[in-house]
Amino acid sequence: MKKILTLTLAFVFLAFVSVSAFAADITSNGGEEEIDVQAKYENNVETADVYSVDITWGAMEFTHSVDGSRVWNADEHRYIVSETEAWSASGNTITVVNHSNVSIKAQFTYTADTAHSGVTGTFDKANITLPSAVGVGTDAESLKTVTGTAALTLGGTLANSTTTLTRVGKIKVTISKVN
Amino acid sequence: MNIPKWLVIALIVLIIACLIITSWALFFRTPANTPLTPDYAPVEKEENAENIEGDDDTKLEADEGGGAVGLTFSDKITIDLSDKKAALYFANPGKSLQDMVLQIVIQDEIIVQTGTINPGKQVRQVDLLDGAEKRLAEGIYEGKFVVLYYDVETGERAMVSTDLLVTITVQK
Repeated sequence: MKKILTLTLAFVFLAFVSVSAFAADITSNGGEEEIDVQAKYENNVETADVYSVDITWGAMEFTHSVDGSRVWNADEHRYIVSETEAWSASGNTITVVNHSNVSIKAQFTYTADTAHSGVTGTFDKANITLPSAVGVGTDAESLKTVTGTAALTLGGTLANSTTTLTRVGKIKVTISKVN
Repeated sequence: MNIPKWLVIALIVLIIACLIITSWALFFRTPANTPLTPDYAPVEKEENAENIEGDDDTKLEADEGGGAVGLTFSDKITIDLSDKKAALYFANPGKSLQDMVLQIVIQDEIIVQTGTINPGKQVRQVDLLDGAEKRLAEGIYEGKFVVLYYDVETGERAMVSTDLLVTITVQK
């Protein structure tokens, strides 16, 4: 009987102790006490990287022209050559639009075909970085912020037998995530 | 005419050896070369391709002689060696002007090459090329999608292609 009484009293005492720890100390009628309420945000939503990219390219037609003159020198039995070579382009740009939820890098490379290894190609921008499309509008003006363009220029020499449009090389666009 | 016995035995051994080598070459040898990249789109459409639900097929604009594509993909690929398939996500949305062929390349070796993926189609699973599973071990690889573009009318390959860097997990 004594043990039961002791145990009961111990529980009652403990209950009072724990209540008093959270009790507000209001000493007068109509008094106020502020109690802090705490909260925290925990994001457990998995967001997968989704890549969505538009790539547009022009006709990529280039002309290697040679202008000038050849004057026959009868005394020396040879031509006096005065020539200038130049490349001109039509539709030589590549445009990349990033609709992804991550930032991307687009890298441009030109590789000459074996039969036309004398033709070189360089881009005015070897690579471009485009921000993610999160929060970007879909109207034309907004899309400019996630759009980049690079232009290809050809150089070197082309065989004078290539008088019709012929494939001389290939373009590769490499897309990777920007961390 | 008497043919020496040893010569008959030698010829029989030689014939048997030739038969064994021929059988091995025909049925058991792993092809050394990976497939070449086609200059014209394959006649076969990719058998795992499915329609993209709710796809807006408003076409992109491109100058005459040029091209335009949309690409949607995930950069995580899982390859299951037991069923010889790769689980992935790749879509050629309806806005594209080009057909596509998708390759998965690890360390310059092509392990997957799809049939033609038309605009408005997507793939979630593709088959490994024959024998590719023998060249892969469990683990994680840095690889790439190589996306080849083809004219929808002529099937001719465009001069532009795209590499997409991906992470490939290979499991048994």
